[in-house]
Amino acid sequence: MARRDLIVLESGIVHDPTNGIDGRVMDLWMENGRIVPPPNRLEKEEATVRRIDATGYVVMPGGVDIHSHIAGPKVNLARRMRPEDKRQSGPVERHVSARAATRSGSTGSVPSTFATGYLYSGLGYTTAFDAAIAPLAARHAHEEFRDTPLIDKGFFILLGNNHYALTQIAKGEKERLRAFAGWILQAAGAHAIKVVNPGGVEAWKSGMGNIHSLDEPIPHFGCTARQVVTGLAQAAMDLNLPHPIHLHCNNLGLPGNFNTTLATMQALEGRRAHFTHIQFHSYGGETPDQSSFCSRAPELAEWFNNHPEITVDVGQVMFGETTSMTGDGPLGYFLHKVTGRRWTSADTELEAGCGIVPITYREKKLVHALQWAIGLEWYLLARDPWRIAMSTDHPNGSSFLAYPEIIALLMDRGYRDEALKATHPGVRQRCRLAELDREYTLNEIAIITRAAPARMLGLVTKGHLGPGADADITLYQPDHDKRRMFALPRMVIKAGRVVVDDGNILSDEEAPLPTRTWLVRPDFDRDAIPDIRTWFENHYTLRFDNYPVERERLAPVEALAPCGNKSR
Amino acid sequence: MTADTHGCGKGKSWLEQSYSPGPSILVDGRPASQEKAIAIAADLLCQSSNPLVYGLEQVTCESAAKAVAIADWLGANLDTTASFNQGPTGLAFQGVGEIACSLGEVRNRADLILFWGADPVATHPRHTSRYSVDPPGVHVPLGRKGRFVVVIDSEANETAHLADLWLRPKAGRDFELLWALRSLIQGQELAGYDAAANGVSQEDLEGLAKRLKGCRFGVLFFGDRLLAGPGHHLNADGAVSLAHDINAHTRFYARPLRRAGNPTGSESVTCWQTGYPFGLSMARGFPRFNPGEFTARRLLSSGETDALLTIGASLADHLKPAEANALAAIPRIQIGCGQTSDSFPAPKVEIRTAPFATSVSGTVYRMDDISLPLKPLTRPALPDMEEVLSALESTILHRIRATTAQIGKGAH
Repeated sequence: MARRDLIVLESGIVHDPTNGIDGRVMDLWMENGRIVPPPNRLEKEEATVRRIDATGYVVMPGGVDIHSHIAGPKVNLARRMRPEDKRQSGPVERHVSARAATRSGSTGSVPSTFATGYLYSGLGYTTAFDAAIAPLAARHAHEEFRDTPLIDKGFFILLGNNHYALTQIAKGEKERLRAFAGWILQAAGAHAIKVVNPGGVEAWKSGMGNIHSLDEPIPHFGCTARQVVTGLAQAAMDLNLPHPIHLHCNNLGLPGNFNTTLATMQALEGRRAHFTHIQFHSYGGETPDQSSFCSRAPELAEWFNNHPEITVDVGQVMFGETTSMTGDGPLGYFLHKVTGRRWTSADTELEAGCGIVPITYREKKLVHALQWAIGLEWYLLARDPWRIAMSTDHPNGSSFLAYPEIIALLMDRGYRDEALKATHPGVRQRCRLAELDREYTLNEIAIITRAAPARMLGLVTKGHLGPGADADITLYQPDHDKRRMFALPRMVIKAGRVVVDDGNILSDEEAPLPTRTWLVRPDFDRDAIPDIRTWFENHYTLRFDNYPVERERLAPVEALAPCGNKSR
Repeated sequence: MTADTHGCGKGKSWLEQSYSPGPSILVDGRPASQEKAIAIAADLLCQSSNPLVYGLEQVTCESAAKAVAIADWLGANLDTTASFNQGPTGLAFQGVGEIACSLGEVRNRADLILFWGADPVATHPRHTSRYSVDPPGVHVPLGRKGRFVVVIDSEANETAHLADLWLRPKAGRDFELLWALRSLIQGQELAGYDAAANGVSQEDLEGLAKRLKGCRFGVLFFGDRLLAGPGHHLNADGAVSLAHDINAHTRFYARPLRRAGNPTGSESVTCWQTGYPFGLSMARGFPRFNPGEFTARRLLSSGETDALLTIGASLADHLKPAEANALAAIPRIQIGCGQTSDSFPAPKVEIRTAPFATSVSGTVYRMDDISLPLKPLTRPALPDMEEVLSALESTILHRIRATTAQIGKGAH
């Protein structure tokens, strides 16, 4: 019998909240890219054992980003639009040696694909999901994933303004809607259903403004945002998808939008949903009067705290230059008008819209400073860390590279107070941040940056270090300076291989580490396909048979079978 | 293969493209094995001090990805046919952004179509019947009758015959017209408008501005003639800016009519791998973008490049005589479609790969950025471009690693 090849990570201080381990010194055993139970003496003697000394290091599962924009046409249009953003940022240099062969790239707010993989990995993240892909752009997104090394990936498809979906919702055809969602998830090779500004993007594409409340009819379709949200939330549950609908509510960024957000939470009537970049949806004040802007995060957090079927990610704003990119077409135009900066818009037939605008968040600007503070309020007011995930809505609120800074703000109240003092003085009267004295523990950080997002996404082998988990592990040097600690992991292990060692990326693009794309293969009623095909051939400008992404063009996939309701 | 009965004239000649009979792999004009040709090509490129990788028009996205990788490992310049064609559009996008939609949006919604410096009947014969002029759409049930079609072109234009309005400015006055239209859309008085010099009356222009503001969903398709001549990227900038302005009133888009092949897809690949669309140098170990410095014309005319790898395009077509002479003087490797001029000296290495139109599998992008699977109709006994480029990439990388290892040994 062939000898087993085992790797043991020895004596690290392990934080594995999923398995109830909070800073215990222990060994972790790996084999074939997975965590395995500790072998007995005989098994050890019969195996080849490679040892990695983790004494003194904090050990966590690899980070999981639940909501990021890293691939597909929208991201690539933003790359194309902003050469100056890249010119002002340090590049990723090509590196060829015996140990590694890594590609060059550009950075800034929208890094190139190889750079995205290296930067995430260098930050200790081993999985990231793109949050907004039009199904028609799925092939493009998979192509970019193939050139994004070292991290596992997946994406959500935009369905909240899809014509076929809106038609079925308007007709009350729940079963047909469910079958369509199942079919299109499978055709696109996607992981979950995304809903962006339900009905509002379609209204904008029709030249009829936007949708500002849950019950106004969507032009040409007649159904409402309420019906879109509840219909798709129900479809996702009926299909037993591992992740519920991923929801970007109406009225993003507008003063007073917390009313819409709260009404949407209530409209779900107990159905599961993930409310994304919740910070951008937690504002008080009167539209369009920006001076009335204030935080209403406490009211929303109270509802959230009492409703376990809801999860959120924050969409934290951090100060500096970045790029706003969204599937919310009218929002892109709004930002273009507010900032006066260049604007890219791209509409996809029958499916989706998109807007891209450069943006600079300034700490002395009241609205920006409040957005920053409201994000922090959410982290500090959410009682159950298992239902809140760290995100900057990369690159909308900031780059994912800001995560260490956010961790420092959450773990150190003194540091947070200093940061608050540097912002616009009006912030303190308009939100409760100054009075919140909670400080996150290391274990809570491990929850919101890996364990919770993995659980929300239904990634059964991610976000924890129990036997059967992927051997995706990050080692940090304990440090009172949390920014430094989390910005520069001592070591990152992906699928049992050391891919970052003391800041050096050890990828070899000649023989790349296989990474995986996560997608679902739900069961759906195949009798619906002829109707979808007929509709498709009558409306799209490509053939039905050219629409599904070909299996052979996908990176290796991790297909999740339908599963039961995974809420705890 | 059966006869193609649906194709337009262009489609037929596209499908019939093939390469001259004879050996597909040549070194110094003589037949050679693929291994030998790739080894010589890799040597030549690795020894070069400032190589240029050029082309990426008749290539799949998968092949384009290999080409960018080769340029990256070599620290080469990377430029595409866009630098001779649609480059100005790329520069305009960087200046003001873009307002895009897929062609299905045009078919289903557009009630106003404006072709500017573009003649799709001549250049894209199915464009008008499938997407922009004739077809009934969800919100344009009457098809042609539901759309108002405008052509603005100083030259003879076949599309103008089916247009409702043809404005014929004097040559080289497009920018002035674009700016005058922007003023009108923004509700400003046209001060000092020179109708005689521009070739379009103020009344006609005001009429057009009113239509642009009053349509429900309009699209400006611009073609090569808007992008020709000095200041061309300002014309593209003007076209996109005009669309921006009209969006204060209604939905309006501005799109280039791109060329045949897969320039849209290869630009997309170049962008996602490097961050930039064309005109790059990797010489410092990372991508730098500077059209005019790292574009093919300048690199050849200045004599700065000392080896050329062309992939899926012919460079000789675009060059002025002096530039062509400079090109003839440097060693060249040619993969994919061949040079067109017989008078041009043969390349050092030539690998004729399977015809892009009929015999390649992979991904290509439509001009509206929609990615599509390409399925081969025939399997000729010619090398597959993606395989050739993969082999070349790995040979080059092995050489670089061997050199790195030598240097490493010497240092210890």
